[in-house]
Amino acid sequence: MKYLFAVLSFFILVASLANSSFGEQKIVLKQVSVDPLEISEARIFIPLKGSSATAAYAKLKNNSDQDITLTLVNVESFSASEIHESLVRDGKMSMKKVDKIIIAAHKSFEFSPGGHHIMLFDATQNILANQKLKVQFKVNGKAQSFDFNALSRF
Amino acid sequence: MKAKILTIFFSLILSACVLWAVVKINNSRPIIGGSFKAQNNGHDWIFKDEPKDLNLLYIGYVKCPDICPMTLSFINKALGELELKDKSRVRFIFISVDQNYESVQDVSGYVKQFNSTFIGLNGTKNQIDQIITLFNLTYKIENDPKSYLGYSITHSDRILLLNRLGIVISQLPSPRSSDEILKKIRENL
Ligand SMILES: [Cu+2]
Repeated sequence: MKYLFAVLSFFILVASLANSSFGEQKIVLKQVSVDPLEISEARIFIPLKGSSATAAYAKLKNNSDQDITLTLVNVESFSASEIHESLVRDGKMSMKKVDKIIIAAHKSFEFSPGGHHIMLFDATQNILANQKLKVQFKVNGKAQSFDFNALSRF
Repeated sequence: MKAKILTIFFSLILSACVLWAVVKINNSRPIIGGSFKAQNNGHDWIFKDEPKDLNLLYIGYVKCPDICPMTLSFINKALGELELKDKSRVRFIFISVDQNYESVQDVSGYVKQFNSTFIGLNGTKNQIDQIITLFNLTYKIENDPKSYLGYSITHSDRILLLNRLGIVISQLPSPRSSDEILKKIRENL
């Protein structure tokens, strides 16, 4: 019984040590890889038959201490791209073009269905599912590209 | 003489009751909708030729990249969750209000990608405007020189639920999930 207890405590000790060192490692890794602008769930819906327009969505996070001003430059494989906002007022929906997005320091922003979206026009090539397409923004005036993943709506 | 006065008195009361009932019924249920005609894939399509027990109607345009495909996806998902016996009793009709830039083939083919039972309609400006008035909806095409597309369309964002006569029995403003659409369908089926 005493022996069993000793073995168990040994394992618990080893496990907790392993855990804490793993945790430290993770923190270090994160510090190294932090970008001022972090993008996740970046996706482009493959255009549907009959429609020359589609949309891209993503989650953005400003990890810096300054506001980020974001403008859209271009999207690979599309003739044109614009930031739009869908608005619903008095039961009617409309879209308006937005020139820039400002993300406050340490805040998040989302391009999401029914809200802000990147509207894309006239694909210049056939786009396949899981294809990575470069989306170029200007982040505080400096060009920066991000990979967006092409997805089918179905 | 007394009998005559009494008759007049009661007739007056009776007429007042009838009038009150008519006004009451009219006010509580203004009748919106009815059968309509448009174009489906190059052919005339008349609602009353093949109505379902429940018909869902939504207007939009094929180049709408955000709200319209989201709504069509939600409707497809909602219909998919219906019991098998109910599936054939419900139909979804999409009407494009972009007569200038969308062909009948575009609209029909577009909606069929979401669900092969979806009906995609468009028509002449006159036909579309008649439908819009019939169902008390709105749309407006505006020039937008700032955008690559060159125009933008503002349109009603609600699903109308029609009975076999095309009369609106319920509606769902700004549908934003398949669950709320499914609930509305079940309530009205
Ligand atoms: Cu748009």
